[in-house]
Amino acid sequence: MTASAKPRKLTRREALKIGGGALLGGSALLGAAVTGCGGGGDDGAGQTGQADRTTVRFMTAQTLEKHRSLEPLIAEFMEIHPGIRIEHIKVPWDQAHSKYLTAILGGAPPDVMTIPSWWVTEFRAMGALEDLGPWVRDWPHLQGYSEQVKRLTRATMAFDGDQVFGLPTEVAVRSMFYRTEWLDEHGLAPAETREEWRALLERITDPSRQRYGYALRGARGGFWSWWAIAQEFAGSNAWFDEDHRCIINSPDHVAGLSYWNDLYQDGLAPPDSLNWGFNELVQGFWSGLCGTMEQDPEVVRTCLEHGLDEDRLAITVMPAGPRARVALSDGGYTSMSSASPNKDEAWTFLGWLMAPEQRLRYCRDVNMIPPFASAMEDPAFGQGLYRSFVEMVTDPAILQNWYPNYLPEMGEFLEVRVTEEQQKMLLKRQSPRETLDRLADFMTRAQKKYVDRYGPDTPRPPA
Amino acid sequence: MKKADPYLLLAPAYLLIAGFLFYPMATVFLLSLREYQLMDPLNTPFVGLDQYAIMLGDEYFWRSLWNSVVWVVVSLCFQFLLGFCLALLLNSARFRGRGIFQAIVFAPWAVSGFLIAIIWAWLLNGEFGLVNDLLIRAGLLEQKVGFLSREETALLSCVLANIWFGVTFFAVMLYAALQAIPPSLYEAADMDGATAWQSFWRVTAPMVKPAIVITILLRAIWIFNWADLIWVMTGGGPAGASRTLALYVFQKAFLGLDFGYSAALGVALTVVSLAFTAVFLRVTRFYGDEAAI
Repeated sequence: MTASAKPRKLTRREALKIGGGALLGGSALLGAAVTGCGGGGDDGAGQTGQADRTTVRFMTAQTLEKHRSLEPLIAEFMEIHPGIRIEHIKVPWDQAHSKYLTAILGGAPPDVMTIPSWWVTEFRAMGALEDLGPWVRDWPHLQGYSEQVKRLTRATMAFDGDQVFGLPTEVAVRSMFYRTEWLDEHGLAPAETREEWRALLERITDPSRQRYGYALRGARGGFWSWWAIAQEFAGSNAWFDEDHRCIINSPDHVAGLSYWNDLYQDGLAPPDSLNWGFNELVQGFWSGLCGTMEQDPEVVRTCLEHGLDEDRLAITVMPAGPRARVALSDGGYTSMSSASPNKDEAWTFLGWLMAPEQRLRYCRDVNMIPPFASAMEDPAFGQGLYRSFVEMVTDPAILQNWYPNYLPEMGEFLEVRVTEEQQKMLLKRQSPRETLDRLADFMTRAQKKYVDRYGPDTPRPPA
Repeated sequence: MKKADPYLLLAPAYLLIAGFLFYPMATVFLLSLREYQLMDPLNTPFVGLDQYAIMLGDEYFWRSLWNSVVWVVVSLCFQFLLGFCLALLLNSARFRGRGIFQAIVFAPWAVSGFLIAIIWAWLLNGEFGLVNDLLIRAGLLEQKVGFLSREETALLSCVLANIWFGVTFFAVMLYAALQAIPPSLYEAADMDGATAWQSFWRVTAPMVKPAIVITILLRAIWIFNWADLIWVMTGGGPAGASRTLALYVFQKAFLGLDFGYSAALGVALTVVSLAFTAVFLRVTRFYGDEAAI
């Protein structure tokens, strides 16, 4: 090593230069980040690109598959309407809520947006959604929605008297899946009632052959399974009485939960299913471990991809409980922003995209159920594996599931509390009665808090 | 004015640390003083230390904290012991292809946490799992056990996967420390008639102690904060049996959407980590030893 290689002491001037350079670089980066965040805001102001074209910003928060299915529809719309340019803003689902809020509160909302049902009340309360009433009056398709969908739209407060804050995009609903080979072996047919279904599970369960009747979901999301049964036993979808006390621990609800709990305790579901979530459950069915499961239409494709076909798979409407047959359905809405500067153009797009023809094409593509009663006449939905799903949303005799998604505590309830409490029950550390008492207590407190803040006029379940 | 030079030179680094570390930390603390539900974002009243009071009465919090202790202590003990043995073996053995062997030993460290969780979840699967099959064939089990769905075994199953994954980290770090010990020390010990046991305790152990202390400390904090393995393997279940504090923070924030309370939990997580670090460094006399060296 030579002496000249020895590090030389920096002069103050040089130090300032380096420090200043770093600061400048830092601020440039920060500046870029800030403008990056705001970027595109100019675009939303309306007229861009060619002067005679109006831009409608369309924000969607959905799965990759659904985003992809929208592309050809958007392209077709722009061909039909050369004066309107659709700017499609795709938001990943897990960041959707905060992105939407940022856009709305930041004063640069999209013109049209897709939102899940449980955001409708929140966005309405913020004044972010435009009442589509004036446009919808001349829209020919409003009466075409199936009865169940109409009830859903009222329950989620998307439809409120003459006001319309969003048009249904699609419906997700559950039906019962069966492995027909197992049924045939015992000369059984899909069950009509919960009683028959339980008997069927007992017949097809045979642990020595690694066969179980029911793909039970004991972990996250298992709530929906037993909540449907509890409503079937109670014959009601209400959560609160007139005094805002939670009533999901009534003796009937307890009987429903006990029915579900017994399926596990009596060995009709795999012991491991105590900790099953969505993936394990679906896998448990197509792998041949379980003979039945309840699932959404999206799962049909998964089953077909894993070797099941129309001969080996039967899907029927959910078995009915002692007091009701319950549809566990939910869906998304497409709404217009109240701050949109181009409302007429936004409606032209929204009205076109939500029309039955476009809904059918889209739903066929993404395996969801179209919200229109006419879906039954479409061969893709009216027959075969999808028929029962359409029946679940078109039969007016079916009780519509409902839950109080306007309560901010609902996330905590569904994602943390319920899983914990139901697993304690499956582990026999508490009875179904105690489980529901604890959950009802949590919800009563949440509801009281809401009533104290916003008054007693809370959203109600569909009649 | 010359006095200012070092500060000016350090300023960019400090600004970056302040902007990207202290600012977010301060924000989390301020957030913990508010009621902040993401589903009710326009209504975030200041509630002072209320969330902390709720936390102290929250049975989920105490259970998660206890699970965290088990998760860290058991994982760490085995990772350290096995990792140290592995490092000693690698250091002492002389054979052809040692380099390749080392690379293979260190491979688990390069696997992503999610993948490890999926692999182990399958190995321990209650119906089709390899572990069940082997234990039944060996006559150790009469019937299949759902390792991930039983309260007694869920957390330990995650610990097992964690040990498998973390042993190699200790092996790498301690092997490097062992390599750095000058052979002359062993030669001198030999000349003085030291037995193998004595030269281990008098030469090897003191020489690698700083590396051991730092590695254990880093790993402890790391494991304490690590939630993805458990999340994928058991989701914290059944009934919270494998939920650690870090996982509880995640669940509260991103599933429960209660950012205020999860911020309070996050602050608790940090406080516990800092307290552990202070006690650990004192007990192991880390700085004292370094000064002696």
